[in-house]
Amino acid sequence: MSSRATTIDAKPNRGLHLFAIFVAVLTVVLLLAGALVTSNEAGDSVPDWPLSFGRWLIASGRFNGGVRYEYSHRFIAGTVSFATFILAVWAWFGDRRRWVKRFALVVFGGILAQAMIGGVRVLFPSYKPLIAVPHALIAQSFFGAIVALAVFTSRSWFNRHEVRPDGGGLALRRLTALSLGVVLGQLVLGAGFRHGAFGLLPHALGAVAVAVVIAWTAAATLRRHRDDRYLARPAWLLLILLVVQLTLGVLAYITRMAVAGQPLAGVADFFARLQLAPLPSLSLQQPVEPMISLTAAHLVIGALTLATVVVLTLRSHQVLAPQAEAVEAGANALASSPRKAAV
Amino acid sequence: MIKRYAPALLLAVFALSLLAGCGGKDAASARKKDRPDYVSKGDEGTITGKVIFVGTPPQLEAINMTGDAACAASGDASPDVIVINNGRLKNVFVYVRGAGVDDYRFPVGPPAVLDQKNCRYVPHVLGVQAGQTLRITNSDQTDHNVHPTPKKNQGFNISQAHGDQAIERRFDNEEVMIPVQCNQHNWMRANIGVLDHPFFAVSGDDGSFTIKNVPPGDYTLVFWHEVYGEQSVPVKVAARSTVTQDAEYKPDAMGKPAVFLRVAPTVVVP
Repeated sequence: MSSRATTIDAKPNRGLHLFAIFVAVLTVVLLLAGALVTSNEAGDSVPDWPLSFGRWLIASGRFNGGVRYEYSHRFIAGTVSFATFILAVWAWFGDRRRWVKRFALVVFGGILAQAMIGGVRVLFPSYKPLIAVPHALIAQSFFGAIVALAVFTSRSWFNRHEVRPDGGGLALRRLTALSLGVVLGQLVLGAGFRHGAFGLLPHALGAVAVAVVIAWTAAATLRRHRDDRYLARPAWLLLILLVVQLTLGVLAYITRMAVAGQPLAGVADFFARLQLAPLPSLSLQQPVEPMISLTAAHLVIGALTLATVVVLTLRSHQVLAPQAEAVEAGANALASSPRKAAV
Repeated sequence: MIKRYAPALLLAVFALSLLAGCGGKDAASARKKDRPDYVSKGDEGTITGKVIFVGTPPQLEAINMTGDAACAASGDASPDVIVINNGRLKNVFVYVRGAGVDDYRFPVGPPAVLDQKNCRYVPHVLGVQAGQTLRITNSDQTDHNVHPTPKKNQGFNISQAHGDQAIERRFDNEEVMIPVQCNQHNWMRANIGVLDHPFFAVSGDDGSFTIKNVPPGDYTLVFWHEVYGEQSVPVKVAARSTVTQDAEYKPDAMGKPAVFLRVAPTVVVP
């Protein structure tokens, strides 16, 4: 085993870490609000931007129907933007690590870019799928970045960790990075399906890919590092989230088809309906429960899955030796042990 | 390499999609201008009929209007995407296709009106001619937003508060159909059929429709319903005749898609 250990030439800032967690929680609320806007088909209920009906604070009489979802989404987005600004300033002055300061600034730039894209989405409703999909991707990526900031400022990140070899098979550092890419790709496919850019088939294939890669990553983590809670806990959480997410996805689809007047006739019909083309209109008369709640929950669990993958990726990159280093350590171990070398 | 040029590629795709949209409209309007004006010979006929729903009407849930007290106060929560009265299907857009109407220009009618009343679009299905003025009014005590999402025409999304003036817009290109939605009240939907000619109708409460002053000729009669889909049947309109062409929609066991049953036309020549 390598004798190297992680060291950080700074002290954890508990206040900054707690505030990063607060912003992350607030972002989940924002994601949920955004999901409810889409599920209730309320994205265009306020036709102007950045003002709403020509005002920053709308009259109470306007707060009806779809406006409740859209305006709440804008209000929460404004709150998250302000909180992210405070977080960036706090990180700039409260954290000694230069790269953390820069990362926090980039994150703040991300929320500003996201706000702009949201505005473009409102002002150009004809290009809804083209704009809504990047809007959804950046939303989730922003959430992932905030979670990363919370990880970087956590006490456990500052703790001394022995850098350990990874073990056999594909390196966990690569597996977690692959998981991150697959989950982000699946978020794009999900958003594309939801906003009518294409059908269910790409998203369903993406779900299979995510299930395989996440299960592989979690299993490899637990097989190799079960004794290390720093890595094992997010791996367990990933497995739980995966099961919940797949269940929610199937239920959301079943209820969506029922609401659209095309209820599924069974398992065979479920697979027969998988197609590339966008589905017909979201609903026969109006979106109803439980479709709205299930779809929103599916989106939020997707975000939490991404967050967990981010945590596992960062931690595995922090405490696991790169493959070249591990190979070298292994060679040294073999060289110092003639018996093992003979075996 | 890919990373370096990805933003430029995305911009190029976006610009191309805009250009593609513009080119189609120009070509369509050029074709329209080349058509001669239709000159009546006084021998036009009529197409009439009714749309029959075969089977058990679907049981739709009542509209949930609790999101807006002014809407809920109207007291009418019956769905309007499928309306069947005594086996007759309402809101079927019926129109003709064929050289006799597609090759000529016809005078554009007076403004068509789309009202918002009791938090519904009235009528739910509407036909207009390309270039005809569409007046959109709000008779409700609450706000709406009018949001058509055409593919071949210019879309718009305008908020219309209670008491606001009527909105007037035109669609310049044929398009069957243009969905209209109020995003403030997600059950409010309408469909607008835009044609270059005035030979269309919408089936009423009793499922009946009548298209008058159709130039004699061979046509395709098209029936469109927002849930049960589009089907067509050939019809021949003789001089001064009245053609009765009924249509039947028979959804499958799951409620969709519809099986279209043709009913032989009856021709009456006075």
